[in-house]
Amino acid sequence: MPVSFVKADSLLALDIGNVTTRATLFDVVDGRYRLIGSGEASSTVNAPYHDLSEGVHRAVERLQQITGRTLLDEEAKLICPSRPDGSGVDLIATVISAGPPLKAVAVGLLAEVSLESAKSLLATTYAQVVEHLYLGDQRSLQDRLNLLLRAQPELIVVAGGTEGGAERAVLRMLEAVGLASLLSGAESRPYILYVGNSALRNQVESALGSLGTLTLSSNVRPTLEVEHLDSAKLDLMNVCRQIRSAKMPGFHEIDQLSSGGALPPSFGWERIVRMLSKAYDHRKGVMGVDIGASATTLVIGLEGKTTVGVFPQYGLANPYLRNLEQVSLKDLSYWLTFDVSPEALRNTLLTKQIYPASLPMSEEELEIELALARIMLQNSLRELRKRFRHFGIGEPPILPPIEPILVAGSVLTRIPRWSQAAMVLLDGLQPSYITTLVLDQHHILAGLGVAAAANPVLAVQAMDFGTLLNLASVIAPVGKARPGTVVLKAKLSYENGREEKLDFRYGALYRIPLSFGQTLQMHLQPLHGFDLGMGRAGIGGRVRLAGSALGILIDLRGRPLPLIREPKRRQEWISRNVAALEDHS
Amino acid sequence: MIVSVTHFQPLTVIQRERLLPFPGRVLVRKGQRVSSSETLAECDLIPGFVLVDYGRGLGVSPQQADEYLQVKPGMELEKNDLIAGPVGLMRRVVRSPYAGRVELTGEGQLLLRLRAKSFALSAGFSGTVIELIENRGAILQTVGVLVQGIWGNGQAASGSIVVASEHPEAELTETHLDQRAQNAILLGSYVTRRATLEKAAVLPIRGLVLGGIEGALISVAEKMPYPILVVDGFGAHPMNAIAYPLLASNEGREAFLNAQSWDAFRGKRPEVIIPLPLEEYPSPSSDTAELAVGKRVRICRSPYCGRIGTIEQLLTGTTILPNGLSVQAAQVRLAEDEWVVSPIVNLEVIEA
Repeated sequence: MPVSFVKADSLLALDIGNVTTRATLFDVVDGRYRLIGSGEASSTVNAPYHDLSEGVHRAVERLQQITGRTLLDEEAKLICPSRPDGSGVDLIATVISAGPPLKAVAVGLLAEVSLESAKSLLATTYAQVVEHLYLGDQRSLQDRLNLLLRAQPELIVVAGGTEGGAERAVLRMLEAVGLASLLSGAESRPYILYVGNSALRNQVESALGSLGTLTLSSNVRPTLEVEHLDSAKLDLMNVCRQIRSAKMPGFHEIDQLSSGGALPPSFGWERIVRMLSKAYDHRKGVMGVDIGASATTLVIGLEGKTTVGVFPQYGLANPYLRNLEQVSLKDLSYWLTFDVSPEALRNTLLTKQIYPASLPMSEEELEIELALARIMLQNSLRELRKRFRHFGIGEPPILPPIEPILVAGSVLTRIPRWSQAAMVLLDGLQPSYITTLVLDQHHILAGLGVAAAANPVLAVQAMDFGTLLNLASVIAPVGKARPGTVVLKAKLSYENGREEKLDFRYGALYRIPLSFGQTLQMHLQPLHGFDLGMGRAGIGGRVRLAGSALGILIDLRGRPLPLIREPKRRQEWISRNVAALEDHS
Repeated sequence: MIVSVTHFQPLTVIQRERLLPFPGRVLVRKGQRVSSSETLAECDLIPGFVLVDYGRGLGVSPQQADEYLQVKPGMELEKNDLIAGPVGLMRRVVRSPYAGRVELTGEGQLLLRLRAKSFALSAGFSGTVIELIENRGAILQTVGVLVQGIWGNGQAASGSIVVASEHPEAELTETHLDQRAQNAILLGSYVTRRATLEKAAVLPIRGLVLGGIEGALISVAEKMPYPILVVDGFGAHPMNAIAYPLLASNEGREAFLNAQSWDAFRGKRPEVIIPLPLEEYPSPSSDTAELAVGKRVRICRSPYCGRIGTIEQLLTGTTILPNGLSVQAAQVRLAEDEWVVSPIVNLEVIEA
């Protein structure tokens, strides 16, 4: 008799965003976890409701209608744990990305070392660094104090001092932080997360502990060369929960009901990517991409180690940061197939900023939003590379071997044609070597990541069973050649015995259709020193690829992509790329 | 589906929180009637702090210096008041470099809280104080006109409304800004020229209410010394056919133009309030409404951005737009013989 790892716990995954609240139910069917149904409602975090629980209640009500399951009791409260009559759920996992980003100040000793680590730590959650202080900034204690009071942060992250290293300098930086906290008054006192030299913990505790907003965590920079964010990330997350709990009505109740608390989506993404990076090919990384209105989140995992970047400044329309006003219109119009005046483009962006939930009604406006998605992905990747130097992207920036790339975000999952989503990802991320693009159509990955702490089997099985969409397999060898040169030869062996030999030329984009349920074996031979990531440049080999929405995309346009300055030629190039993916559709 | 409401109301009850930027003192009482210029509350703006190193000033060790300290935390000092000393034959002393309050002392150092500029929060519009908010301000109630916008440059002012555009659809340019505009809240159609905003600042005017503004002028508008409110959209965008006549019909009346940024989380919108002298209050209108057939709505995205119509049908299931997007949609009648299908997320309910 086979051993079952299934604990038979049902899961309600809640995803509370600025615009939409989603409730998704998972339960055991035929011995495996499956997605049972999903309900949506408008979020009620914002005025005039100011209570996120109303949106949760409506989304769960919708879920009840769809699934026929009873999840709310007579007082309209979520039933957890489940009852013998089958009503309710055993586990609730909640991710929340609603509300403005946290206002934070980063403090360190050396600008390039501990201050960078404090900023890297803050980049793992939905926060905006409004100021930073460090020992060499030439500011007096008085200046630092005044700056902190003016910035009115909700959170101050203090790093500095390697283990066994600087103490007096760290205490000097803490003087301004302590004074600012003391003088802020209880109503606006910032939370303080200390992630510096652990030898100072007692002194920090005695100096700042009485203010009631101090959290001590492990040193993020134990040595000059090593950055350790993992443990501090958990403490940061808990501090963020406390801040949200105090400022967001309804948060506390949902937080208490949820296994592990109500967490930021980046936390769930990180756990999913970490799990998969252990399970998949150890020589390749796993990437998670969540592109939303409030922020773009990137997570890369390699052999169980993860790098996370949450970039509110690169959300598709973050009204709290007015980020679209900073978008270069020249960069944006680069990706459009039609001429548009800078004035019209700016007006469109401003309208999107004011109405982040609104949708494009014309073909042109849709193209502008997809161009914006490309820019935000490129910017986020650039920032991740800058902030996390160990990330492993070379110069020029080329993604390391990654398999798969998991993608969430309505701009890509609710798009009219899958080829449009693939083009945004190919242009925005420029994946290299051999990878698979997977879409999180139901926005469940972050929630499953949170649930994985309590029930990892559920997270793995729920991902297996048709909840994710395999968008395409991508083959993008890295190298340089004259356009039109054959740089890749392939022999295709289909399941029905049919074989085909194909040559692929540098500068072009190709699509080989391969439907769901089909598989194909490809023998690939790169030429002219092109690198497929199979050991070294010029080495080929066999790969077995599964069918997907688009099949196999062979991207030989170059890494990085060519810069085409002449507008007409560029527009033709973009149209040709789109046509290549839509051919055979 | 419940959505938020945009108000272009000729007569409604308006209740608004008027809050200090920092904790301070509330100067009014519940039930008090206030005029627009009356101060509701006052506070000190964020003070500066100065660190005085009196140990170094006296030329002694920090520990010794404390023996010569002449002040205590909480004491108010004037500039040049004695802080510490005298020490030695030369009778060295340290005096306060500024006026302020002693916050902390010890180990040869003193933290002085400088006297901050005070901030007076005016009522902005005439009304009745219906609730006090401890240390922060009050909720004011009035009855009158309410017109809400989509963008504001973060400033607020009161003044009389003057119609500046020649025609509801004609661009407001610097040539329209004459003596009539001085110290008034101007009603204009739209602005696409920087010179218009700059001339308005020179006149000066009290505020500007527009249907649209060219996006490229946003950074200029943010620097103007008067409030600017945009009602409908960005670009050469005349004001909608409800808000413009409503505001124009109140020319000469005192208005409060609060061009605060739109903050959905905190429920703040840029708006114009015109109190009317009525004894009886109409029933207050809601900030949310059910999206339903017959509701008046405004479309927020191009090519119909700013157009107002009426919902004729909420389409069941999903509808495919011309660009291929599959959305929940409604059929909206824009004119006698003009209908459009719009995603419902692009619709705002208008209460008028």
